[in-house]
Amino acid sequence: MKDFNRLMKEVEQQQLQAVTRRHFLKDCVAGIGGIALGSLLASCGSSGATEAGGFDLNALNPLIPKAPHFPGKAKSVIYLHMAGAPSQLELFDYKPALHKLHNQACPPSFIEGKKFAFIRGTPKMLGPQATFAQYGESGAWVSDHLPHFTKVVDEVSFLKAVHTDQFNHGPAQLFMHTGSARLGRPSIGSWVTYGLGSENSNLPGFVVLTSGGKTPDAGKSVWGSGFLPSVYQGVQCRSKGDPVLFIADPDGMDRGLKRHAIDAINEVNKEEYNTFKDPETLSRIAQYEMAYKMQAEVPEVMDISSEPEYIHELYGTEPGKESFANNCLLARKLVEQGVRFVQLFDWGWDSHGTNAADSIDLGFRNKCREIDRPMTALIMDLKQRGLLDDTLVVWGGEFGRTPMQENRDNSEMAFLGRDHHTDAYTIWMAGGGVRNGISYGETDEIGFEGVSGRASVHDVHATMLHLLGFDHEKFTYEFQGRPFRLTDVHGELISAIV
Amino acid sequence: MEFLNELLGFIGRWHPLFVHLPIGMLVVGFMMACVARFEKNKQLVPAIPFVLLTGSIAAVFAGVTGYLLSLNGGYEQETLDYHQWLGIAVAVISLLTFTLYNEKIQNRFVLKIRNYKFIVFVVVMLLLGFTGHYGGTLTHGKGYLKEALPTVIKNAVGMQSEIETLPLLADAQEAEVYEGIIQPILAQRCQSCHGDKKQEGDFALHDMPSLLKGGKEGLALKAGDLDNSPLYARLILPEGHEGRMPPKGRTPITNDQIKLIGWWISTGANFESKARELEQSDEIAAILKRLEEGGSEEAQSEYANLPEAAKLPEDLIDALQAKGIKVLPIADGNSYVAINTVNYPDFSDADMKDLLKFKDNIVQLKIGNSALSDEGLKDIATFSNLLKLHIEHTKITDAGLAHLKGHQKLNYINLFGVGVSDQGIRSLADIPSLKHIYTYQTNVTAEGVQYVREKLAESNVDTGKYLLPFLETDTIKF
Repeated sequence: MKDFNRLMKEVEQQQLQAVTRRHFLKDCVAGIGGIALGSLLASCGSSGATEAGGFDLNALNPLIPKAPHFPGKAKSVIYLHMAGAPSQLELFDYKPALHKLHNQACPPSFIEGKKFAFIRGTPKMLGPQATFAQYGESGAWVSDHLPHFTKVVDEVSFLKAVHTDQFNHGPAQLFMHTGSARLGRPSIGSWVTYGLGSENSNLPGFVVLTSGGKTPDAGKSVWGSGFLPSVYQGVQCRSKGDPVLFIADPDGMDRGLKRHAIDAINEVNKEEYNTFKDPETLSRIAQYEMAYKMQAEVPEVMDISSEPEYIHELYGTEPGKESFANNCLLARKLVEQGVRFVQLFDWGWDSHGTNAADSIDLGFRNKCREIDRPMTALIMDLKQRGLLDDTLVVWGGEFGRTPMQENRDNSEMAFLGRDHHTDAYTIWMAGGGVRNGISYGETDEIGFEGVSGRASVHDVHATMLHLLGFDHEKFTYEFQGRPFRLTDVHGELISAIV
Repeated sequence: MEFLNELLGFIGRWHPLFVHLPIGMLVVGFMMACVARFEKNKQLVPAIPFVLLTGSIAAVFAGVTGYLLSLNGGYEQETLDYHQWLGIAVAVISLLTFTLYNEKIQNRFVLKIRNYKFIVFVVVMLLLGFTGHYGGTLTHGKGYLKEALPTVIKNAVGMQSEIETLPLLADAQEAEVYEGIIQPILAQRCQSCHGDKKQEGDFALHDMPSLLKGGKEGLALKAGDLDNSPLYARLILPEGHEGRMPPKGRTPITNDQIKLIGWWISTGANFESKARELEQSDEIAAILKRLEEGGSEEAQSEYANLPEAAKLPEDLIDALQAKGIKVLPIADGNSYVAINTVNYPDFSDADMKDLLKFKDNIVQLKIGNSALSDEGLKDIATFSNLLKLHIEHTKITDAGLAHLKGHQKLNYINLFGVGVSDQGIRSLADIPSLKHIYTYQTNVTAEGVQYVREKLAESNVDTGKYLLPFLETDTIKF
């Protein structure tokens, strides 16, 4: 018996010896290839892979225009995100009662059990640090911080009682843009380009522009493609210097040579794809093609210096600078050229009151000044060009600000500021089939919480998708064994504004 | 065990095939029995029992498979019960008929009623008819037959045909909520089954007393309590739920209408109040507004009223796409497209000829910034389903715009940067459907705009040139 055992052990050893690293790698390759093929088939439907050596046209051209569920009213989206979260109480949500309560201690019962990022102990109420009036036929309330914007309020619909469940910037921004506070989900721009493709094959379908300064806390994941093929992620363009790094060919390289180089690389990649069937290889081939076409088109569309003087005056743009104004003008130009989703990020809206720049009565007003003219000009310019009709413009932050003055770690602060607030904030939308001049939702007397027409982040997403022609409950992507949606298992269309 | 269950389920699936055997056989038997009543056809008599026996055995078999099928569930219980017991009756009574027709059987009971054998056979036929009808209802949904009746007949027999659209309200806020808003919805969506003529589930909702009385399952509504008001709760059951109303196969109720019913019940199911007297959320106010303007959320789309379009010429479209002319599908399930030439600035009058080949499929033409000229718009009036036309920054002149005269559906035209004048825009005033006209940077004057605004009351002419004057506050830094 003992001998037999020893014999068995030896056979086992022999077998292990016989399996070399070469075998292991070979097996791995076959296995991974199989897995990759599986994910390819899942993402492309049954027509994903044609016979060996063949390429599916759609797989190689992932941005080919596709049909939504029903005819959408919006064809493109411009999303203006004010990272840091602007105060709704100084812009659109007028609360005279808060004036009267200014500097009084907040009743503890009011904030019991609530979580705040910085407020500790008993904070004091902070009255609106702005003067409000009603504008337009719709009688929308707007503060004196946005004097230009008052002229287009009749083109806009306000959501006054949006709420989120994240009180820190990173997760809240992720939630606002991917429908989940955790990493890994595709951003709304990726979903939209995945669903509709792009109308212009020489430009990316999803472009991201930041105003310089800080990038969003959540990082590039807010325009990431998550589990969607990476070709749908946002392409960040710079508004200063080359719009895309290395967009110009180096000296001595002409277009023909470049073409040859890309053809050769794509041949190798096709070979690679035939061996491993990894869909990301197809993404890479598509990206090389796109980059080549972008070299011709992007410098022209991203150059605002050729715009006439009256346009620069309207937007307040200064070519060559990194600014929100320049990005608004670029957004209009991109949408004019058929780009599907333009995502703008502005920064510096986190008005805690720790210094003058982020105080609600000083720095905040400077920020308002920076966006007031450009965002108003954007709506006007889209309108006069007949583009507002099918371009959805969305403005908002990742959450709102508290009606209480921030008392960081229970101390007096040198400047006025407000803490992060999840229960109520304002988002506005214009164009793309949104009704004009509606104010939907209402907050309580001090703007703490929505009392009617509350809308969750998922509801906002469902509404945006509806305007683009998608039923958010049927717009899915198979991943890890179950269909995923932007709104996951939540979300209801806000029918009052569409 | 698992295998057995699955096997039984499989056998059950054959029910729709087997049911037709007894139907055919019994009907043939009946026809033979009819003609055999005449002396000259007497030779058929001995065959009748055989046909009846095979027919009733087939009926038993159909019954067994039917029972197995019903175990899978998913059928409306009430109809299923009728179908099941009628089917059993058919099998039993057809066996009885066999014994009556088979002269060899001399049972005392049989002898007693043998004289009535033909009448019993007639009963079998009637039962067979009803069983079949309920079977059809199970698969196709209620009202499957009736719906398809010619309208003339429907009207002649006083059947309520479904109301397609409700009339618009002049002032929804002044309307009586029950009489003016809720009752018309109920009439449109519910009363073909729950009305004064027919009360399924003993429930009708054509007037206040029957609404308050409720039905077989109790009260239909409890003022202010949505959860205990089946009238509302059954509208919001998930699609495919057997209790959902309106049931499968009937025109579904719209979301707006469900919300209005919910609002009416939650505000106290009042039968007298006017809309403005009841508390309204923003959402309800918006829906009420829609009752005046027309168009529920679904019907609002300008694409809703287009006729069925022909199939697209795939080869031609592939050729256009290869050129850079984008042919964009508008939505799943229809063959309407939008054309975009953003990647093909050389788009010219000659290319318009290609588009002519599928002109009825085109709802949108984005052919601005191209080499298009007046000649290209020659046939534009024949693009009968065109809703939106972008010809900004082209060489189009007033003569080109004149080709648009008489278009019936065009809703939007973009003339940004086109050298047209008042004369051109005047020819647009003859397009009654036109709502959006963009004349930024054209030679159109205020006079021309005024002319169009007068002729097309609903249109919106946007002349652009927006400015944001400098404000002193623009330069203040805090």
